[in-house]
Amino acid sequence: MTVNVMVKNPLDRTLYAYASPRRILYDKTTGKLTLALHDQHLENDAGFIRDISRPRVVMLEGNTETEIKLDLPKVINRLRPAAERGNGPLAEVLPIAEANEIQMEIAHQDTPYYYDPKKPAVMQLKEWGSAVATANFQVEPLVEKGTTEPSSDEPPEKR
Amino acid sequence: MALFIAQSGGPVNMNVGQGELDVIAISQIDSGVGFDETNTTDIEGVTCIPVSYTQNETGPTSDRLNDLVNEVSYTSPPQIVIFPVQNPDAFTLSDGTPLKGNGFAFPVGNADSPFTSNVCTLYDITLCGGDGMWCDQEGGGRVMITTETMLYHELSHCFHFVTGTAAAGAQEEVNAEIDENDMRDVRGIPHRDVNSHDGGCGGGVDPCCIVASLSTGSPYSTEINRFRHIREHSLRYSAVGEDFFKEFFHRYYEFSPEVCRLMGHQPNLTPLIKDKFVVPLLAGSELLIHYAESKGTGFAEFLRRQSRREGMDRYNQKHFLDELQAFLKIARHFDGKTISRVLKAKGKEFSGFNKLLRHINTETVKNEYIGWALVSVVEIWVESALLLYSTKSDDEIDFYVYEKIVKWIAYLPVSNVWDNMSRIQTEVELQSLEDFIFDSRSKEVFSERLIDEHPKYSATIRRWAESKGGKDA
Repeated sequence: MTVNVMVKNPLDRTLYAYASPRRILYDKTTGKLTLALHDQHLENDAGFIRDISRPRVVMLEGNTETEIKLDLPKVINRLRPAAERGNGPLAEVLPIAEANEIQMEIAHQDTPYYYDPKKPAVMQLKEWGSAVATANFQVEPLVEKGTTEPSSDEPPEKR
Repeated sequence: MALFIAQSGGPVNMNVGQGELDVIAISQIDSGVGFDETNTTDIEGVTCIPVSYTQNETGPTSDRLNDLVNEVSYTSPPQIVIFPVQNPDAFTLSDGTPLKGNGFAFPVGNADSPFTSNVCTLYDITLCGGDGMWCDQEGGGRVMITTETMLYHELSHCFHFVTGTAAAGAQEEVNAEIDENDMRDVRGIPHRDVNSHDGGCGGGVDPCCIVASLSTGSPYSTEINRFRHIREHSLRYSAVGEDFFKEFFHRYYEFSPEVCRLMGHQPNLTPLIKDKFVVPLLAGSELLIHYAESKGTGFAEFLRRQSRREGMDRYNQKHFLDELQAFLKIARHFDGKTISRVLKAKGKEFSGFNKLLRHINTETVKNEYIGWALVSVVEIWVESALLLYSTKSDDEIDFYVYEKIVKWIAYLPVSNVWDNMSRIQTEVELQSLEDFIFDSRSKEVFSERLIDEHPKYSATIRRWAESKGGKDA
């Protein structure tokens, strides 16, 4: 599935923003999907090795709207820690295409990200992306032309 | 056996074939490697294929594989389980972090690990969904990451976990990268820089940096990485240097995207900007590095050598230098109307250049960082290169170039970073500036400027200014 977000930069200068999801959370109970385009959740020392890549970054030209397009799978497999799974399945299946609400969190900065070899990468990414814009969207069932209700034969598509 | 490849774990299938290929690459395609897919083992609920190894090949990667499989340096449990993740877009850690573009290694007992009493690694066998991955190359530039180098790197961490040799903090990453370079030797891939832990997906192009965009194919295309290396490993290693680049990037990326936009709208601008800004700027940077490395001597010979470099002859023609000097003067000192009038006669080739000069004019007038770090560097180079056309002797040229650079250094922008320093830190920073580029006269002028803005440690600053040392020692 594809999530397209239009981001407006109201400033005169170009901004730079994360354009790839760095954390995908889905609450099966509420149907809320959180797409975090930032690294604020990362711990500086998580107790395990995290060889993490840089995020994809897009330029947001001043006084214009830029589209950030995210291609996502319909289902996410979330690795379950040992304490949660026992000897059960390795992953929890999260049907994110069924989300009825999407929370977008996008980190941005007024200069591109430059890696500094003196500092841990996680710390730098958190510092660089410390300004995070958040917006929530309701996902409505896609109603076919000429009808007022979604088709009952198949699960409704979302828009 | 102590090394395993996960086959499946509930709903998730692994790409066992790729995992096996990567292990075979680590063995140096040793016929002694085996995978018994008919005799799987259940490790904490995960179906795993045992790896066997009778070592025939010699070398550090084969030795390490032998250590891991045959428990030469440790005793299992813990076992080590490799997860070659097939669909990293659709696979996240428990905290929601997607596996795409990443590698992870979990020690025993970590709260996020899928295992209680075993070690495991998960890696993206698609290398960012086929976009490829890079890391910093030893000596500058970027070099690709392959699936076997990524796995070997992660297995290095696993080896350190099971042998109790994991280092604290960043050193563990350095150790894994040193190991990774053994695997790079096996594959004939350049080494990664073990002091940089940067990396990413795709080509990793800097966003809209005019210099990076236009240096390709220039006489400096191979020098760019050296300049970057100096920036990252020398200039940014002090608080003042770090702060300078922070301020400079902030200004530069106010300036640079507009230039990129101008180039996008008027393609004829691209060669003009490359010729009249990027190449001279890189030539000027090279001149300054020569100053720093040579204690301020041998400029005439350096400039001659530079002009003989392949592709540089036309940039050193007198008419080119004269014209560039005139443009710089216009950009720095005149208003938009004057710029338009001067360029009107130049014809179509220069259409759009008007806007560019006006943009530089606006930026340099309002910002000392752009003026000092970009425009002044080009000015120094042009004026220095023109001296080769004068009747001056080499000694006189050396003297004049030295004077220009010393004067320029003294006007290094002074920011508020000095406010937050202790006296000791101030001393350390001043010493660092002196070691890199300052001589006694640039110290004298700079110290007065510094005291004017930050008088807190004026005695310390004066003592530094009066001390002998630096480039004229």
